Amino acid sequence: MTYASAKRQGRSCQDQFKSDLQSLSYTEILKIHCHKRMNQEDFQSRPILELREKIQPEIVELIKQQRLNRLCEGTCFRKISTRRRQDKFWYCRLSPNHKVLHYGDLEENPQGEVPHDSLQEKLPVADIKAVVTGKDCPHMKEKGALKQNKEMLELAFSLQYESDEYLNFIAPDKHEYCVWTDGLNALFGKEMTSDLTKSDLETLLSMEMKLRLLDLENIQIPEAPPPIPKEPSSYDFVYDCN
Amino acid sequence: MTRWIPTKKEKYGVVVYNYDGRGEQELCLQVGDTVHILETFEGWYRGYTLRNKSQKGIFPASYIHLKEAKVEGTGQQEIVIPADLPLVLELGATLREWAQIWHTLYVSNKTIMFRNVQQMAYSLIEYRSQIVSGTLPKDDLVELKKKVTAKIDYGNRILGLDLVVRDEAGNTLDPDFTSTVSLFRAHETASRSVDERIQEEKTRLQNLEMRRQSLFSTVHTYSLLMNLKNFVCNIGEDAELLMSLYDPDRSDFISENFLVRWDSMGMPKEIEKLNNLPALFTDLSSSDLIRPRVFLVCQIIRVGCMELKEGKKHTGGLRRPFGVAVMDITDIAHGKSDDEDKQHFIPFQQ
Repeated sequence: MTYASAKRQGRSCQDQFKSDLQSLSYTEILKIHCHKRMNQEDFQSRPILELREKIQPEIVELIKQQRLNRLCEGTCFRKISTRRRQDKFWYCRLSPNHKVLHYGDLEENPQGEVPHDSLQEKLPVADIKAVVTGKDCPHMKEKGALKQNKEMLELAFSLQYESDEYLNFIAPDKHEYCVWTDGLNALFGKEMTSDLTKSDLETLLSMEMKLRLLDLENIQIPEAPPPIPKEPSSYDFVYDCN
Repeated sequence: MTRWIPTKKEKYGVVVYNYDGRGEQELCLQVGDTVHILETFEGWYRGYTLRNKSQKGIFPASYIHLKEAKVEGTGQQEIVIPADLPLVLELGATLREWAQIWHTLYVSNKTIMFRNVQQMAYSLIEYRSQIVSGTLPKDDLVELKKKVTAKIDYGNRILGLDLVVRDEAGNTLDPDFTSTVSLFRAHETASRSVDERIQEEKTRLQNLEMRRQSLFSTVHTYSLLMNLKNFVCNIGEDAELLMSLYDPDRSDFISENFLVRWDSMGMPKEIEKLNNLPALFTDLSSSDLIRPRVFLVCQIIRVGCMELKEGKKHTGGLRRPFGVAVMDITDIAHGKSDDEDKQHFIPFQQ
């Protein structure tokens, strides 16, 4: 109704309105209803944004756990050699107690996980001084590396463990890069800032919000907080006190 | 003396605004929470949120949008049941249950399942809002109900949750009011139909795969292989041969050029390919085949200086058309002559 009348706002002629109503097919009306419902979900109002902020830490915690789990599963990395590209691999994974990074060379690209005890080298997490990415990585500063393409630069990260000793990584893809930098940041209690975190946060958070607001369907949310009454003059409840 | 009074009608509501409790007695509310109201006094309610039933407290009545609900039991033991359609309640509960599992799926990095559940959850949310909106006519609602319950059952199955037993209309059967035998029968039919659905899903995927394969096999492309054996012409300079397919009726080249460089001694520049310069014209469609005439055109281009006698100091690298050779390959293209190894000799014109 409102739709049809809005459509003909200028002409308030009743006949027009009637014919408009008739011309609206059933499926069209259903579509309009559907559209209206979508618009009703006004996620911009203040209480909802507040709730979003409240839920966010839980979700971030979830992402953090996921990233750490992924580090524990480990990843196979390609070896960097300044001369020719050789198909050599190495594998790195975090120990289940999150204290040590196990790593070691591999002959071939492994199928699935590589057990911790077959990786010979160890790097205690406590010894790691810093995580550097991209241009700041020592292996990206080398002469030969300069020629390497930009993609490589975006996938590189290093762990500094002695004053100038580095463990250098080149992630197989952007996704893996995000997982590792996030995971390492999480390990050192820093913020996770990758694009993947942003998109994951958005996915998880929007679902959570939708679920939280399920019961508010068709109910208008006030713009300003409703008035709070004066404190009750008595706390003498009928039912038990906590 | 005024005092707190147990509520009769105001039993259940939804929080419409975030409220931060200020004292020990007050309850913190988040928008979207549902509350069970026990008693009221001077514009305040006392009760608990259904998310955390153990913590009771007071909160301003103005923050609550009341909803109708049925109350079972009395006093302390009372339970509120929202007056929404049972299916809507079930949807809410299912979605919340799935969300928990969804999170664990995320944490344990089961990406495919995670996506699956996400999609199912979103479609359930959409269905729910359609039902709640109350704008659906009755038959559509019945139809939707079936869709929703099928989806819930399917989701519960692949998540390894319990199956909800329903009657034909999709209502949950109450074990208190249904005999064991009929409950068992209903369970059997339900689990069978879920199995069927999973089977359907599988065959659907298989069908898609099959269709893709058959699509590949039904779309035919044709290719034409030619092999340049030799090119004899006394130009005395480098030459380039451009070979392509040509439709004379439309005056249009229908293929790209196949380029061969010839040196001044009358040999191909890549000498190891002498007598063996194959080219394959691929991706000819069937519409190319039904062209009335197809020609193979060979353009000869002379590359060098303007005058032969001039020597090489003045002009060099000039490309000039030198000649052209044409062969009618319509019969070959139409598959009428099938002698593949026959060698053709094409004279060219200067």
